[in-house]
Amino acid sequence: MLKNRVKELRARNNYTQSDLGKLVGVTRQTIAFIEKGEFSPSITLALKLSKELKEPLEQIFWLEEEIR
Amino acid sequence: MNIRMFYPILNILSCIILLFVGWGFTRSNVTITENFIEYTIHPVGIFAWLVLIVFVFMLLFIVQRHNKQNPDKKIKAFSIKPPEYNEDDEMYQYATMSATKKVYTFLTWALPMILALLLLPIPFSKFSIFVIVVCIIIVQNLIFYFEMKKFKE
Repeated sequence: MLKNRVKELRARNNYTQSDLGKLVGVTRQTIAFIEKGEFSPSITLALKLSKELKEPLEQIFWLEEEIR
Repeated sequence: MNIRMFYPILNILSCIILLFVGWGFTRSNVTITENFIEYTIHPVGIFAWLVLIVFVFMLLFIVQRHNKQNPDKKIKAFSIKPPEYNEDDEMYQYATMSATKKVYTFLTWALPMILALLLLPIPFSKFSIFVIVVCIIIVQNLIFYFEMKKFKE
């Protein structure tokens, strides 16, 4: 299962879900579902999130069984 | 209110009205004589037909209001592409794909089953065939609605 730190990093950057959604071109709901781990973003969206959250991709998303 | 989310429910409502239209029209009488053809429609059919017309106008009003409130997400009440499709971003594209996949799965077994049912030596009336088709439409809309609802926060 794909885990992520989007919620934590979004809060660190003082973005609301809507703000981050607008920056990466998706709806607020999509950001909410990504944060809950209920939707796995595409590579394109993950890279956009990585850019906006100013963190390398592997620091935002990882597979549950992986040791970070 | 996201009208695209509730469009399957509106489809179901229109199907229920259509059931009454069908009931009324299949109970109509046609009298053919040498001089004239008399067609008498059951009052339920006429009333349901009027209700359907009012419903369609209400639907057009709701769609128009949605389009005014969401100029970037305009929908058409009557188009080849069903208005309930939501493809705002990749998650909704996935949701719509998942919902249409489930509907396709349902139709894949439902339609042959109905064909098999119609082959049985049962004297199906015109109205019972009408009911079967309406039931399929209702179920497919329910499947679509509940799948899309999973992606509603």
